[in-house]
Amino acid sequence: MYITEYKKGTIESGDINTALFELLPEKIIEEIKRLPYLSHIEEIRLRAEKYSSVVVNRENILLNVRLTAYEINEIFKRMCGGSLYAHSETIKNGYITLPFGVRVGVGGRAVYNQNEMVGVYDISLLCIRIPHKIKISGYEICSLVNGFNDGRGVLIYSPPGVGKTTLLRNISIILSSGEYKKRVVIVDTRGELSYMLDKPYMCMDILSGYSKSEGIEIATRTLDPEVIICDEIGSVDEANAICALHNSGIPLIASAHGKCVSSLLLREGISILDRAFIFGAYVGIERDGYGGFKYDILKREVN
Amino acid sequence: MLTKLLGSLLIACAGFFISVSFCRFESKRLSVLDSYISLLFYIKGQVDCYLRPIDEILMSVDFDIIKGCGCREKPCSIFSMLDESKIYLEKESYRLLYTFASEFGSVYKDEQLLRCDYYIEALSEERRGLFDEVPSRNKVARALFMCASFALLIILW
Repeated sequence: MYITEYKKGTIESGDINTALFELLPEKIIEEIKRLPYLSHIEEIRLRAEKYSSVVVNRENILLNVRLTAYEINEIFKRMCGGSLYAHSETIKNGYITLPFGVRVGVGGRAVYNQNEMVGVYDISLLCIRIPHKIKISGYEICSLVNGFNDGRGVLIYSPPGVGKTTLLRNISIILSSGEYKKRVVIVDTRGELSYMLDKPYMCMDILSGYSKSEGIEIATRTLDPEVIICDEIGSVDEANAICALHNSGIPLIASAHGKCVSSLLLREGISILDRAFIFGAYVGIERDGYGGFKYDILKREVN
Repeated sequence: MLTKLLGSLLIACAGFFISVSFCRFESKRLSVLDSYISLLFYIKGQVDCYLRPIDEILMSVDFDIIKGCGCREKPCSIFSMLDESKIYLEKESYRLLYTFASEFGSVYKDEQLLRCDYYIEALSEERRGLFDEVPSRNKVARALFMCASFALLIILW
């Protein structure tokens, strides 16, 4: 069983790719379409004056296309919808989110003024992440969260590109509809997590564009959620904000980059959360090769 | 004789209406420029407060401003607006607006706001010039068309 929205996320057909292809030059599209494993493409990487490449099952495949710096800039302008200023903050954080929920990593020449980044100029790298087919999964994590009676949540971790955001989307769907029907609040800082989740039958509220710490605070104080979901936490500020709100007893389901729990805990922000017993379990994920996930669940016992 | 009189009257009326139309056209030029300045203020506000992309700004702008710019429907870009209202704009005003549209969205917020300020100031300057010129232009037009119609009358009589 597949989620319809993610079926559209294949490179052969669907709204996302049609929209994405409108932004890319013809020569790139032709090259991509020539690939035999079209539906498995996870990333398209465009580099100025270098060969572009695609990532398929975490493997890099070079395309026989070189884009000029001018062409990269033109694509970038189109991706910004002719309004660079509207993406200023996210560009400084290294990405832009396209209107159809696709995240594009951006690299170039960063300019600083008194230790503060003013902007990124001469864009030379665009890394487009294509949403991929994923089986409906996440029931295990939902029942795990439901089993904690003390308001603790779950931290999902994996290296980049495995599917944390996709899994969080699935969890949001399961928790806000069907048997659980919980009041779910999504704090979507990057505008990526909530893409296509705003369905009328879901008991879900989305705070889009809020910083995680502010979003979690607002959700707790004003929206009375039963579960809060957010993507990619890890900074000390975020950890402090989450700890301050932990008394409210609302479970938080979040994700973080990491290979194993011990490497996760080396990060100060995660370590603060761990010491405060914010999470009842750490769930490592990897692809099972059949369009779903394998879980490595480590429960955190309260001393 | 009656035909001659009727013809003369028609020529005099034509001269009068052409001069009135010309005066209205001059006033319209002024109001179109006013509307463009209002549009730029609106764009600046939307960029400053909401960081909205240009297509969303143009969709949200009051339709009276769009109509005031000489457009009949909500435009998809500033260029399409300029195409529609080119006839009403002075060469310099058109050039300024075209440059504004070309540069728009290629810089970060602070710089974008500075550029909005620059173009608003430049267009306001143009507007002041046009405002001063309109009465004298109207006078010239009225005199010219009336004289032309009388001259034609004398020739044809």
